[in-house]
Amino acid sequence: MSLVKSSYEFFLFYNKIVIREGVLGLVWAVLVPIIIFISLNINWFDHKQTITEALPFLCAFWAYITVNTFLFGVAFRIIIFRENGFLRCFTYIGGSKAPIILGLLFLQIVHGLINIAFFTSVVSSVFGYPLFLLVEIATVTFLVVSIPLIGLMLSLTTLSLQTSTLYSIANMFMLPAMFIALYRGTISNGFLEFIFRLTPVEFVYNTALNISDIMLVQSNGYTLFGLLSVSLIYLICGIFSWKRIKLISVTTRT
Amino acid sequence: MITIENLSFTYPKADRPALQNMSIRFETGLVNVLIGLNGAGKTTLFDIISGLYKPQHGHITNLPHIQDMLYQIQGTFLSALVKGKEYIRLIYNISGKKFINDENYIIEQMNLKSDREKELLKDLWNKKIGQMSVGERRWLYVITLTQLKRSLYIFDEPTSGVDPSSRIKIYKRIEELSQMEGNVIILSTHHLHDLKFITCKINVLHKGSILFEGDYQSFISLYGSENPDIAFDNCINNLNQEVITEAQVYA
Repeated sequence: MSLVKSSYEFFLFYNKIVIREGVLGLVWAVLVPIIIFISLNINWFDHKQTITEALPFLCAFWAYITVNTFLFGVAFRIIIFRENGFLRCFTYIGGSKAPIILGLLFLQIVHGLINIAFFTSVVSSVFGYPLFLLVEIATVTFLVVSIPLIGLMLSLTTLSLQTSTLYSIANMFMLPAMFIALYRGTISNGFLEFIFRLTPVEFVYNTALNISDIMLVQSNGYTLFGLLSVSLIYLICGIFSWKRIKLISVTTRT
Repeated sequence: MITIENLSFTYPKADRPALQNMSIRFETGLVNVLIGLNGAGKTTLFDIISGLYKPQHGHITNLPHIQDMLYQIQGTFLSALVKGKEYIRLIYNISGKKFINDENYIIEQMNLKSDREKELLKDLWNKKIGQMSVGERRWLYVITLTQLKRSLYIFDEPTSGVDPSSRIKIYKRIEELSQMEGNVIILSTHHLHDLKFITCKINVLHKGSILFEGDYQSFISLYGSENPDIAFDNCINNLNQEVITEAQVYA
């Protein structure tokens, strides 16, 4: 049985569940950033920002949506699968945990792309920015950061964390992390600057700014080297974590 | 045949071992049944056989690769929103079996013999897991899993919550698997009366060690009761060859 076909089966299976869980959940996940974005920038209707001025805001929200998608859709789901026995059960049916996880990753990439494209289309239309260009930047950013971010999320699943703990930590840090990325500026201490850039929201934010630079042929001083280093760290975390993803629940007998 | 010798295992932070110098042979051509009190170490043993835990002492020989092993775990694990046919489709498609979206084809392919089983599958085909009873879910789960070809099958309480009629059919289906050449079937259960009707070897696991190995007749003869529940009670209380009446046990 090929890995691709098995992964596709899991993708279809998860997709049915997500759709039956209710479209409201999916819509809400994209409506919240739209509402926050428009509310925070309501004065843009009177004082329209140029696209260069607006881009950092868009990049910060893209970062928020992207990290949210992978944190809740990959790290959380895998921990839930581990805790309720799904991962263990289907590993023995399919012969490997790989298709169970790959199907989930594929699902999150597809749903994340739809979310980010929808968010960008709405805010571009509302504020009168070039829709296709911005959707292009957003989706390219999402695709570029998805593999390293997945690596980071897989490493989270190897920790003996309960979903409630991870949920609390994520909710505490996600929005502040977005605003820190947007407003903090550069720190003279190189080590501290690197630590900040190592956080996933900043990583996506900076990647989005770089991709915007490339696609708009501008420059705002960010270096690709730093982003590649962070990507590599995330990927190494993911590769080393793969074998360490536990099949047995850390809290319940299944 | 799978052989386990002097197996010991203690969970981290536990004050006593879950399995202690346990030796056991799981044979082909019959159903190897593991019985024991709750917490006796049955699931721990299954987890070790399936490679989820490494034994701290002792060794296991003739274990197949994970891809040639099927381990049915106790817990419920599926979204309540999934339909019966979608569940069968997933299991078939990830394990290389052909799935056709036609309940009659699947009934024929599963070789369901009784009318009741055929009706049950038709009933569950479009029913969501959340709308099924616990027994119906378990029946669907086990019957679908028994369609897969493996050399080692581990069933952890496959008949828990299942009605007597379906229980017999599940046991018969598992017994059929055991008749296929080279297959090793290991099963745990608390329904001891049903074991009378299948070719099996009973292994009583108690406090991490095997107290008894043998067929059903030897078990009830040795522990002095036609009622296997009482024989089991005698066994774990080390009361072999004493006839204890049902009234005495319940008193």
